[in-house]
Amino acid sequence: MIPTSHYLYLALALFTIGVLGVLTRRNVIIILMSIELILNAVNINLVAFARHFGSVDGQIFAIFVVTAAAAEAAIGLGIIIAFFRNRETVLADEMDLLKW
Amino acid sequence: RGIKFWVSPGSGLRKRQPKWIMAAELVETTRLYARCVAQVEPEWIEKLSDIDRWYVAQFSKFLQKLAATPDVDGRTLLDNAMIVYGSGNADGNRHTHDNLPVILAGGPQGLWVADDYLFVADTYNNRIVRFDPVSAWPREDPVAGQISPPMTAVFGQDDFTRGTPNRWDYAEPTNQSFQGPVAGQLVFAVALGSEALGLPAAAPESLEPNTESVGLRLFESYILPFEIASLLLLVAMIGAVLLGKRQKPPRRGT
Repeated sequence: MIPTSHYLYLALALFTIGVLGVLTRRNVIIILMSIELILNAVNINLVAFARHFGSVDGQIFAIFVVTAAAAEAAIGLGIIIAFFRNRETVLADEMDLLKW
Repeated sequence: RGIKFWVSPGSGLRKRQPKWIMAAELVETTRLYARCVAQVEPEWIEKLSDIDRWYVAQFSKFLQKLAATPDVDGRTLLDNAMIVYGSGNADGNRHTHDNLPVILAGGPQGLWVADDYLFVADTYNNRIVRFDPVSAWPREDPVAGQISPPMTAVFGQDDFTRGTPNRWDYAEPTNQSFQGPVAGQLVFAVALGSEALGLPAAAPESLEPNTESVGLRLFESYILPFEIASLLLLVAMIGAVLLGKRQKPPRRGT
């Protein structure tokens, strides 16, 4: 039986990698992937604590998080594609349309 | 024992409501939940308690024989010996090693003096367990009404669940109250339970597929978030299609 702390360490590692990716990368697609990593770290936390406390609610929340992640990925990729058609770039620091 | 409890929400027996159940532990989280629940028939319990009673009777006979045999120093063998009897698992389904149902029999002339720590090498679980000295034991456990020796793992693996505010309901019979407690025998029955007899309905809760309970919960108490999530997915799909559609080249003159 794997103790719950191991799952928490794994989730912590994934979350750290995700945050570092969001903060340091320039490519918007990689930033999107890092956000997915963060969401999945949260999923691992939810499921680990659901198992720890013998409850199903955490798993159901994880299902909803997966749903939201799917919607977010679809919309995000759509926005990136539309943006690339207009500006021919996927780099975050070149997206300065809103900057006056 | 007249305790009212709820079957743990992760269990497959939650909806079925069998007439007789047997639980390995009662844990107080939001409510008093029973974990590792198995559906049983009353005859099984009787059979099991017969078996356990036989074992305990054998052990008692063994102890009496020891007490009747004189050792070289004039005391009996029982006074100079220390005998451990019990189970290596408190909960056979989940392999928990806390609160082991263990009987320690023997006299203070054995290895263990009242002010000494007792170290037990638990090779089965790769650890060394330290029992506190007898003089430091609580006289009466307020919850179970039994004496439970305080023990700590000083080496090797410790259990992560130790720090949680669970209310364990194990009874741990010691040699002082050896002849009596039915509760103690029940604990043995519970601890040995599903492993010893291979009960058909006793799927271990940690291994059992909980697809059914997740699905039921999703469609009963979480039906509104479920529908909202489906709507969210629909909107996201339409939005993605709209965003990804190749725009027609703009007509001249408009």
